[in-house]
Amino acid sequence: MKFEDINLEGQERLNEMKNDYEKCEVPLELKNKIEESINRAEKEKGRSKVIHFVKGAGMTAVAAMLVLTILVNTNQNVAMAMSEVPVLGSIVRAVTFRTYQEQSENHEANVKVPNVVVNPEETENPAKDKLEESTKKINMDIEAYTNKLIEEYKSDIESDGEIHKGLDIDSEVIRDDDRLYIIKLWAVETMASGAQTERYYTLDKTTGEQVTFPGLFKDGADYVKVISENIKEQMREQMKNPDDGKIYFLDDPDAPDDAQFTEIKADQNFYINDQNKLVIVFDEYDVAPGYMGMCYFEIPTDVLQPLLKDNELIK
Amino acid sequence: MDEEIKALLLNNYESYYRLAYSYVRNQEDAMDIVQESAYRAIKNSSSVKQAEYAATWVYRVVINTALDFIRKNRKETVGIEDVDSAHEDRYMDFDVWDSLEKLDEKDRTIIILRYFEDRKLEDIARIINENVNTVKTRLYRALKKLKIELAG
Repeated sequence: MKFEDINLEGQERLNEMKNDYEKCEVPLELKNKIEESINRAEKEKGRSKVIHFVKGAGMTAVAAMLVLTILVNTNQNVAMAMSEVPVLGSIVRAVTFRTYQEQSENHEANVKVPNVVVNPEETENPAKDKLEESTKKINMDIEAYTNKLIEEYKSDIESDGEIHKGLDIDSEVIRDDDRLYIIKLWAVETMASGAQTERYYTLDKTTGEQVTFPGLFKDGADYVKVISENIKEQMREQMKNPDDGKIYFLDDPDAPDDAQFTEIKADQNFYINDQNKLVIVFDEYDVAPGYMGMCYFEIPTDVLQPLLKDNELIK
Repeated sequence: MDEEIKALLLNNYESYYRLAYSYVRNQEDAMDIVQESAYRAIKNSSSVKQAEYAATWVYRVVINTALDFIRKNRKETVGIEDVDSAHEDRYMDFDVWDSLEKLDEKDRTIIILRYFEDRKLEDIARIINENVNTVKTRLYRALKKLKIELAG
């Protein structure tokens, strides 16, 4: 129905109405507020892009996952050789291999890439050769992982100088005793909010071998199922009281299937804490909404007992 | 698609504001609706597959956001008498708003889009998610209510 189909009186009336309608003043600050809304939405979308990237990177890193653990006891020769070593803890240590720093108004990177090195004075240590080999593998993985994050950061700020972005990478030795050396590498990528990931590398000082997740368990043990079920129980328990504000991607009828936690990976990220308990680690957004941060689940040892290869490592 | 939608938001925000205002008759609420619409539009821009539908789609987002807003507000203000008029900006009470008040939300939107925003019937049909014939019927009815007659 065109305007011309209306009689003249009606046209006049509509024109009057239109004039009045357009007199409705639009607040001056609205344009700024819309720009804010657009920015907010874009940042949030940008963040989810980063999350996907981090997840992808996580998977490759996990595929090549290295856990450094060095064996001390059981073997008589090893034990004897070890007794001559005054400070066992010093056989491996972390050094800063490279740093990457960059800063401008909108973006900032503070990256410290660690390497794990074997003390060159430890010539008598029987595990030394194996340790050299294991640490080399770990260092390669650390470098590949951190390089990927740095390259992503660089290309993001090159393509858009105005982009707000931060990258922080550092490491921390979380265990260094007679048996185990564990270094945690963490990375936080910041867009509108952060996306945190952690990698744990565990060395068995007594064997010089890296302790891998599957390597903790007897051959053929269905550790994925046992541990996943235990984690689900823990998640449900934590979600029982809604006031606690804990939410995991589990039992949510509205969530798509691929967003639900079903089971851990065969080479799941983990560490062994100083009580010798197994702790399963999930990166931010993996099994819970972002505000939950990184998620850790300590698995009771009695659940694991029948599956464990070495009852000294996890007690 | 983000760039197209962003351009629409920044170029047409006055139209979106007035449309939102027709739903809530209140400056602050209308601003909230347009801001929220802008956020939703960018956030969900991937649901627009063809650029030519972007403009109608943004209108739809604005209308849906306004309806959500009204629904939520009604829930919050149950039992409070005459709350609507208390919220309205009386100084904005031009003749047009009183006239539009006589129409239901859909008819009002059709009149606004057709005669104040010069939108085609096909576009309006897409915006309010009705077929073109329904839009025409509603338009006749709305004009009648406004005592506007067709040329004879």
